[in-house]
Amino acid sequence: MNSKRPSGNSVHSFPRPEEALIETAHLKKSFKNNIAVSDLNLSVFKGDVFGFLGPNGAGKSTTIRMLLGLIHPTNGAIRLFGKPFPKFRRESLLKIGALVEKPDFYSYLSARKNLEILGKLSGGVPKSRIDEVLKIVKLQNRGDNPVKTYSQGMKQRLGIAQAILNHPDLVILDEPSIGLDPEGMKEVRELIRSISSRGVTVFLSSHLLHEVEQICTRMAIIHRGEILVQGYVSELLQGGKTILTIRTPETTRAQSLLQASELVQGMELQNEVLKIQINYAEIPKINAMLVQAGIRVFELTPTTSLEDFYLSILKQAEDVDTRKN
Amino acid sequence: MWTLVKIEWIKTFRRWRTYIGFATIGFFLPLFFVAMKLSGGEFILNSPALKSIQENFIVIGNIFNGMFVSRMLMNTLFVHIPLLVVLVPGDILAGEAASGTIRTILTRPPSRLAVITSKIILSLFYTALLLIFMALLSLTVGYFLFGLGDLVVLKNGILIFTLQEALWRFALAYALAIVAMSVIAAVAFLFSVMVSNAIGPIVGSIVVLIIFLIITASPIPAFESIRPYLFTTYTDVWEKAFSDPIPWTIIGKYVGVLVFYSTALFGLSAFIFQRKDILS
Repeated sequence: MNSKRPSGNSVHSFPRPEEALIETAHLKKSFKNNIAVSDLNLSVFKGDVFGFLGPNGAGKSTTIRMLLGLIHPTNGAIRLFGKPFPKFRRESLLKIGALVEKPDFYSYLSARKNLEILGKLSGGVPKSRIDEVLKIVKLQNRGDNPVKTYSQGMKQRLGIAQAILNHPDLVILDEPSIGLDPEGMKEVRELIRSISSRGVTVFLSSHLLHEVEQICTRMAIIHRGEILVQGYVSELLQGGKTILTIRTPETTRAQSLLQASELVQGMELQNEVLKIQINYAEIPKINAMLVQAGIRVFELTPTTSLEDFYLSILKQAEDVDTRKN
Repeated sequence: MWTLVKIEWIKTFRRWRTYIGFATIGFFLPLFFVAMKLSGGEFILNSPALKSIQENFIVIGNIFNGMFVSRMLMNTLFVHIPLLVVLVPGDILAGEAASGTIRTILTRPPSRLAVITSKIILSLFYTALLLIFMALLSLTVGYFLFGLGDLVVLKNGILIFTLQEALWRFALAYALAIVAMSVIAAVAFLFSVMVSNAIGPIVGSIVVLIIFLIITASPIPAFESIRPYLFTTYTDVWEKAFSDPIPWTIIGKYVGVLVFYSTALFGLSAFIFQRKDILS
């Protein structure tokens, strides 16, 4: 394992490998002829709320399963808490809480019994801690009921409860909001914030962009098993493409003018509103260009959402794939 | 390890499915005994061999007693007991894979080897418990319905065991049966490691058992060369407990082969489980 910066278009330099809780080097997993993860270099640092984004089938769950020892990598190396994994599997897993895909429990047992069993597997937890985590996930009044009587949202919360049960330093959550209604999603987001505020590092796999945008400090985007970008969310968004909404009564003239400009990377007209894709730094030049041409501008609104950024990154990757083929 | 075994115990014995085997024996065994009682055993006592015993020997108590019926039951049920034995070992890993709980367990610190060892121990424990339950129930119901007495065994002639001797031979027979059934449990366990649904291993192991039993019992000469390699050739080892003198050398060989099969099958299961990708 090297301690170099991860690959991908990372924008922030953070050479502090001693603080990396998760590091992968050239991690690869293939199932027969299907490559699920390819040359994956990932770094998650202490204190991060790390968003692991990607479309369905991108390799998120396979990566997480490799990080937890559920799947054996075909190639590459993993270090957890600075130590090779799975060589130091027990030591690492004692400090990790995880929820992999859907939360599955012994449905015929109560939540409390499930937590007791899982706690014992991690060296044991006092009864008071079980009460405490049930309270954190707001299941204190249902703790003695069999899990089979729980709703999906309750199971999801119980999944998070078991992940934080043993006071882990790192919590790995794989799609924790899947199958939840908006209220449930909000609850899960609040729970993640609350976990993070206690100094726990969170690795969150999700395809819900707004979820990552709202709670993550750093992120990586994975597509077809490869990391496309990783870095601080704020910096990635700044360096990314911006959608500029332009309101003007002279849309035809504005359209012709901007079409000729090299600054504009994409354009569409919707209900007499012009939307162009540009780099954030080029906004003043566009403004000047319109004014100099005598076009009356009523509104210029830049929006740099994670959704736009994510879609543009994926589009670039797909364009590259198309060209290769 | 003890903690893991205790956890397996809780998970196994808090499920109603675990009790199907016990319930089946608990229902069928008394039914068998009551049916025998109602028939008065005349159809057996009137057989030429038993008639001859009653006429020519002084037998203490009734020939048609609890010991006699218990041994009849062993003969009758031992073909079917494997169907009940496979229920827990066949489900113990496949069930966790199907329900997804295997992920939750394996993301915790205990190693895969420790997890599978605890499941093997529990499977063996269940097998032993099922047979001990059958033995105790059979003797208890037999005692209350028929009373106990000397045991008559018709096997290459006529053998008569005193009650005391018959009891320890029963204990030996059931101990040997536990060894034999452990191989069946190991077959189901191996299937359980390989698939992710609960029914597959149960059906799979029963199919293997049926095929092996047919080959073992079939008089076709072509099967003779493979018969020594089938565990079913050795699973009737418990019957040797009722021979006189007890063929300890043969029992030793049979037990050795059966233990070898169990160890190999459980070992192979552990090997596969260690290397398996958990995708469920």
